[in-house]
Amino acid sequence: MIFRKAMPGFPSVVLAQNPTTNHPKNKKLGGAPVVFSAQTTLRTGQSAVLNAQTLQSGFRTPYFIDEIRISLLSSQFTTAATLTGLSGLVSVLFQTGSYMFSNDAVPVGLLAPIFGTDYGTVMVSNNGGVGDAVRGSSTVRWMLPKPLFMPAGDVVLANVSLNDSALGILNTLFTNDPAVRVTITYVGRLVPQGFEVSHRAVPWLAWWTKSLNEEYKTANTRLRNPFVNPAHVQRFTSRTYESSIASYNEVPLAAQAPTSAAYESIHISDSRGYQITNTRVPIGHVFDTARHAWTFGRELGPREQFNMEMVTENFSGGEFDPDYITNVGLVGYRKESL
Amino acid sequence: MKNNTLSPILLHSVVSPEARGAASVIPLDIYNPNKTAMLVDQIRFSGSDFEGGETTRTPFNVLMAVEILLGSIPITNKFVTLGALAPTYIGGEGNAPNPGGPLGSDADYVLTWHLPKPLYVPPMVQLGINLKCQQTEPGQAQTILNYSFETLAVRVSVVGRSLPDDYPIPGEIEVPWVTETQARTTDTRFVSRDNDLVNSNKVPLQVTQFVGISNAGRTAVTPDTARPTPYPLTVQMSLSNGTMLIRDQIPFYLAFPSDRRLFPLSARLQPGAFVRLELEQPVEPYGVQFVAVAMHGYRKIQTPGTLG
Repeated sequence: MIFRKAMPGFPSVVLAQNPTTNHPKNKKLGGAPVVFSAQTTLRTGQSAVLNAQTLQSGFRTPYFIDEIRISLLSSQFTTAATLTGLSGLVSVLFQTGSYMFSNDAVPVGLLAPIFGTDYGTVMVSNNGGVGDAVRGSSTVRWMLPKPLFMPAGDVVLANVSLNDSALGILNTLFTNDPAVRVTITYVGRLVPQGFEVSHRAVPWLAWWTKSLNEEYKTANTRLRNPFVNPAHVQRFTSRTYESSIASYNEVPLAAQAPTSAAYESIHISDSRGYQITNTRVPIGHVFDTARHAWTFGRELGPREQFNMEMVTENFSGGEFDPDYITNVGLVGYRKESL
Repeated sequence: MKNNTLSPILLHSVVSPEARGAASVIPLDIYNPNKTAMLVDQIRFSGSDFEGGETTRTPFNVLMAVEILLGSIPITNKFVTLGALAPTYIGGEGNAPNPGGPLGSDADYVLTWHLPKPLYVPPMVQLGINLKCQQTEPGQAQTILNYSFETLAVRVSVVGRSLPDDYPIPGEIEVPWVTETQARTTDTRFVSRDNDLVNSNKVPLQVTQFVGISNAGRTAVTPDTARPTPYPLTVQMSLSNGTMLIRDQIPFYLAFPSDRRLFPLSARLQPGAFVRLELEQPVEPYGVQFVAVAMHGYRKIQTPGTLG
């Protein structure tokens, strides 16, 4: 991204007094902090676009978005496992102008390698009253690969959905309070009027999923750079969920031994013919299990792609109940001209 | 050449060391198939399910030790306990397996060692990884290390980035250095040897962290969840020039917290300098103590002629 110098007359003292940038790659830019937030309530199978008015700057100046936080709140998810399970059920689709962040709604658990510090531990009371239902919340904090420049008046639209399931999981889980409250927050910085960039880094997300009951599956073209410009891939992310008629919990990524029961393994190559992994590797070894991610940094040329195949090792006919759903995501950005 | 032209690479291998034995990762398994240089960022380890069914078996991260070399250049000072190499052990409780589910067994545990600096591995140079089981000999006193097993498969993954053909060879490379002191004693006091936590290189060592693991005086060992016990283990650390790193004897679990057992430190250690570690237990513990503390860092090495 090429930045021109700040306009003459912009008070440098503001930069000094507001070292608010959260993004380590862009601290020198500074700027006054801005936080925009909106929320909605979803029920089974529903989707909604969050209020765009509250997700944009009212200052009529350009701004950067450094990170996006997504909070999920529900009375039916009050344990750590089910709280993180929500990250596999709620998906989000971002868009700014004609630029999509992804070509499909992405489970929020794939956006960020780690949850916020309150993940799985904070139980907030409904209205704080005695006898109120305990609610659980989890927060995903996605630090964008590059700060996203937003012209004055522009907004990132967020379309969120609570996924239905072929197993009818949600109908069982949401018997009493079938709602999940989704709150999306943009954290960034204002920049002075007239601050210009010629290009901006628009995040790019792609993902695919596989069930343990499927013996073999490939990502096909899901992990492709569909743009005419190179895309920068920051990392792969992955989460596994235990899925049954009565529950949807996140479980650790597995690194099974060769003699163990069924488990997922992954082989990756790219469209240039290079081997990314030398063999099929258990998912617990592909991704850092503490961060649910493999971060590397790689340029992917136009129309290039990662070829990823996932195999259920020790497959014996499937029909695992509970089933295990593994999502794999690709997080990066591409440059788009303004 | 810009970093964003690098390609991720993951090289995986399975080895099966015997009880009290050692085994090496087959070099060809972790050899860059692109036949170019690579940067290694992380190395991961995991073990198979143990057979035998003992309820107080030795955790994998205490049972196994690893030796890593870049060509002929040592990265570890002989063998280092896995638990002292990686500060987190993700998967669940160390000695409370979660059997039954397809994805819920011992084998969920993964150790990831994040190298202090990406390690440049030149083309045609092998990364050597040797594993050793640290069990005690049969017939010795009951210790946490006397677990027996019939088969054990260890998975090893080298995670990094493959460099393009025209990537310039750096004049010097930053090579990690990990050295360990290990106490297996019922004594109330233990002092590390001068050649344990030492910079035995000919160049200064940039220390980045210490990683420690202990059974904290318990017989049923869960090193990753070391908590205060009736007989807390305490630790004190100092440099060979007398500088105190930990001035007083403090509980071991405060220096090396259970969730992330590392003590970060940025310091420069001259050749021959060492760190002295002193452990104390107020009274003799009811279980044989196992403590391993490793010093992590890196040093700069001239590239030409030093790799073989």
